[in-house]
Amino acid sequence: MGLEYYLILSALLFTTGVIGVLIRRNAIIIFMCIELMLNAANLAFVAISRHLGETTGQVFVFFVMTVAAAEVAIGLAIIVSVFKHRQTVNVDEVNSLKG
Amino acid sequence: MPIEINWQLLMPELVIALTLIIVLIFDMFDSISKTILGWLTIVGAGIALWVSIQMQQAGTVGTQFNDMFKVDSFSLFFNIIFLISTILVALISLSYLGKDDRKQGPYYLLILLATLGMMLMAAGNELIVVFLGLELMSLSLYVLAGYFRDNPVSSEAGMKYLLLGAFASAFFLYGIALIYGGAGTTSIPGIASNLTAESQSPLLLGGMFLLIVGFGFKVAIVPFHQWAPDVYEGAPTTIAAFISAGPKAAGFAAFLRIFMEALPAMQSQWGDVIILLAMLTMTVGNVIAIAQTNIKRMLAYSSIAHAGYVLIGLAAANNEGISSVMLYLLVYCVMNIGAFGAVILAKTTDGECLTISDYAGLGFRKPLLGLFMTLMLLSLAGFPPTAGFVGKFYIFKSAVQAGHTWLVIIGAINTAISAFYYLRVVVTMYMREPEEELEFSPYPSTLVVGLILAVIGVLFIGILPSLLLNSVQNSVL
Amino acid sequence: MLFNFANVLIFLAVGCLFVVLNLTISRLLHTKLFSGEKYIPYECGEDPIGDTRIKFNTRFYVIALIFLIFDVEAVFLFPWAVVSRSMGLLAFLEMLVFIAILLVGLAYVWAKGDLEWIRSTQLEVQAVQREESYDN
Repeated sequence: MGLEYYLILSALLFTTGVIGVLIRRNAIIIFMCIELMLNAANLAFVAISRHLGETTGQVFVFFVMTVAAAEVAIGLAIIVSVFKHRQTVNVDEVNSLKG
Repeated sequence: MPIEINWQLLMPELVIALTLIIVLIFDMFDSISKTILGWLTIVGAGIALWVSIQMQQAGTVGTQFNDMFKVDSFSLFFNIIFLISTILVALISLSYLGKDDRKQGPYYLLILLATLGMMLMAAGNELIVVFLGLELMSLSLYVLAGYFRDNPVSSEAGMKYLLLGAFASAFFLYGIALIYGGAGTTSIPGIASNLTAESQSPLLLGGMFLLIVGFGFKVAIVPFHQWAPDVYEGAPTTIAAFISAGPKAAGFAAFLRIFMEALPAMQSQWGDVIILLAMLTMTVGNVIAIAQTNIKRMLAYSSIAHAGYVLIGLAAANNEGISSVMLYLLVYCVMNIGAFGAVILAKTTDGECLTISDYAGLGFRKPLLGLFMTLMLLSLAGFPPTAGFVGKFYIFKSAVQAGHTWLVIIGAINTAISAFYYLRVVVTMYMREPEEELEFSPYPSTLVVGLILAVIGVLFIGILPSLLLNSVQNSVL
Repeated sequence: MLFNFANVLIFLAVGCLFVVLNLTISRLLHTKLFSGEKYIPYECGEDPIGDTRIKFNTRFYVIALIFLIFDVEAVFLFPWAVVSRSMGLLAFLEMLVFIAILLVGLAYVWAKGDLEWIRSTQLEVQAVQREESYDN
């Protein structure tokens, strides 16, 4: 199967993630959409790596996975600390900073 | 296959990593006084700074780890910028954190981690390394922005920074993936050599624009700037100073490295975009800054505008442009940390003076504070004989040489606009009577030392720029 | 290739059939008698107490996050294992350094008390005492 199918799928996943970030208001769901975007990039990396017949892209995916895990750990901790103050994680209601 | 590791090339990074582990270990034991952690950070960063300066003077060049990591005058010069920012921020943080032992350790750890990330970004010769450096820096900064967990505003700043920063990182990563597909490699010199050989694919073009979006978020250029004012206002003031200085320089370092070294063949595509972004960023940043009443928000919009001036130098895209950008970033980091430091110095018993009207009459009642604040704001506005003038002068000069005269005219108009809101604070300090009597805390000595260093830096570069200029011009890519 | 896949398909079909068959047989055979006991979640003699949506102790969450980080770091061991033989001593030393750094991280978490289940009582009391000593 050609490279373009994988790239189209990854582009679709990426777009889904972007749209999710833009229209959803729950911080946790926004965060999940960002993870979807990262995984779309991972899919593109693996597909291209396979197409070129080398391993750089696959090694890149390992790094992205660990970075994503660290991001999740930090992100959830920050979102929990916001929830403790506000009792909500809706980004429209968390708006005390405005100029 | 044997791999030779040249430890000398990695010295600045190794020193920072070692300091980091020492701070980590010291923080584990309750018997060790936590106040030394801040000093350890300063000493470690100071040694790394000294090593970087020595290597920079000696003109050290070399690559490490299969060409993934490149040490040259360019990366060393940026190391100097990052380490100066780190030292200044650590100095102004010593008194800011208070006496709580539990707050000290992780704070300095995260600052050191962020510094290491920035150094990796400037030295990355492979998009993987740049991405990892970017994430190491960003993840540390998300935590730092929300560092005062008991304060709802700080947590909120952390969450906003996290969501938008992670969003930007995802764009950046997808851009790298597309460039990998288009060029067949993620090595920066490799991309450059493949680009001239092949025709340019739509993958590369898309990847390049996604990279611009990702960088745009990280360095807060319009229209990707919305997070900056909220984060600067909510984050601890020392961290606002840090976020506005080092990470911005690191973002531009990686930007220069990728666009000037890997994608020069596509300059016809990205050049115009950069010019457009420069105009937008300067104008929007300066115009909105006029309307601000909170000084941290005003400084946030001013830092957005300064990113616009840096983009003028990028748009010039010649050697003068690169060297003027590097000089400007150094100057900007020192004066911006100084300005935030002056905000911390204006501390009343109820907290910091945050609205500009609080500064009424401060110039005479608190002469030292008035002097620091005035100097930093004059430098930010670009008045001679401060460093801000020198920085702007070389940026505009390089743009004129590259033929962007009208861009320089817009820049000059913006400088005039910015002088209005910077001078308004100075006028408030010296010519208004205070509405209410505020009780001020005594000056912390370490904070004053940090500010004096910033003032010396600003005046030194402003009066004797030629000493620095030679070194900058030898450091271009 | 196609034939191998047919094996999987047959196995899948047999599996589904087995489940459906057993359920149907038991439905046909079982007695149709419903007492109150039949409707509670567990039939092992344990009476359910309270709502099923209880709040978990946040310590579970902290431990899970710490586990997540160290677990994912182990992913780097796999590419290392592939090349370690051909790269010899250097690869071994590099992995030692990597694991040593992770160990320092684990020791830090341990020293900070984040692995304790009863942290919420003991360390908070210490922290309060410390803050009181500052105020005096």
